[in-house]
Amino acid sequence: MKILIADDDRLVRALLADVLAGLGHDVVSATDGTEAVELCLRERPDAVILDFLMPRLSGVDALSRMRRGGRRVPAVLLTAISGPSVRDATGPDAPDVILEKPFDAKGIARALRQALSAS
Amino acid sequence: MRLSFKVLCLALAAAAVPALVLGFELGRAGHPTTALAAGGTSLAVATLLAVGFTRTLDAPLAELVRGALDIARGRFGRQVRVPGKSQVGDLAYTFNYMSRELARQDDENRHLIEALERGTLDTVRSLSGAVDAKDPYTRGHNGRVAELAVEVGRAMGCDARTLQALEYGGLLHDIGKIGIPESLLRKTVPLTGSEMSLMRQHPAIGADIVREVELLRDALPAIRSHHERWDGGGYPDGLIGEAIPLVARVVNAADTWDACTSSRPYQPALQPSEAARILAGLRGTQIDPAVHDALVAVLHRRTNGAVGRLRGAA
Repeated sequence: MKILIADDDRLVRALLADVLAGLGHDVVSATDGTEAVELCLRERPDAVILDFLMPRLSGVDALSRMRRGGRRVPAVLLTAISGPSVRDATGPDAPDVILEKPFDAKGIARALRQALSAS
Repeated sequence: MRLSFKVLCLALAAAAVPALVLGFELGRAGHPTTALAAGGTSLAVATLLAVGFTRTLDAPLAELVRGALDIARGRFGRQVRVPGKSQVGDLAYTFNYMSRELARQDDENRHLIEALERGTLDTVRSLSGAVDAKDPYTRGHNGRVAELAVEVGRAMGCDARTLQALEYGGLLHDIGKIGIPESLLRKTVPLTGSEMSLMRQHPAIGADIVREVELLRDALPAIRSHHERWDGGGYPDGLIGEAIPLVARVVNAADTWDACTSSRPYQPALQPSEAARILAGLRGTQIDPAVHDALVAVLHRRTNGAVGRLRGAA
């Protein structure tokens, strides 16, 4: 499967890419929300993993733009702040799973599975 | 009310009932000293816990307040320390994100404004070029006047807005010449009385041309009044002294300097020293003395001292 990841932190991107490649997925990565939206429209990934607080466009706003076209792409939202506050900040385009940082490889795999089965 | 005081009250209230019950029971059993010690210890522990807890809140909250005030002052990008994972930590983390995003948007806006200002200047330059095209003898004159006027304005301590008015005003001061017949502009012999009065309409014509342009509002006085004289003998309004807008007084001096030092249909270019003598003669009659002195200071720098020395000798 093709997974789009977006995070402004290089280390987080590297970690995600390693784990996802280990799971046998293809990875495309973006460094901010705007780039993530562009990449999503071009690459049409099977799922997206977005950081919440990214430059230019937050993960939540990026997700609502990605879904504007009508395609409901499965989404995991990464966040360094606590899940409940993030849940309150998401609108109608809520991500399928909210994953709090720091996370481990198992956490990513589980979140991705949940997001894919929820959609 | 301070958060620490509230937490302390809550802790004491929570500790009070068990402490009282314990004290009462121990007192009835005949241990009044133990009762006092137990009650006291209980309240002391509650106080310590409350104080310890609020201290972890006080510092980060105070820092957030300072950070918010800095941002209000325009210091976008200001970051605060994130005190571990808690709602206060989340607030600090989100605050930092907000601050960075504000800085980025502010930066974007600055670039947009710069691009707009460049576009405006290009537009004003092309308008100014329309006069140049009509009057080849004064080619480059408007640009030189604008440049000199801005330098004089800077030497006089003008603010950025006035400097911009000087630049636009310098570029466009003769825009009204668009409405003057070319035969007049190119004449090499002295103008007749009626020709002169027609020529003298160019400041008013110029002001009418740009009157409706909002972004040239500050430059308008420089266009209309750049032929006024400090002693009141100028045109079109015969204004005297400080009644003449500063931008017009500066453009007038820069205009006179450039007219003296570039060749015209009716005269060859003068040497800077000769031109400086002429300007010194106009100080206080045509030219505002303060503007004249600032202009001389600017020319002194430009000519490596040649102009200033001459004036000092005069």
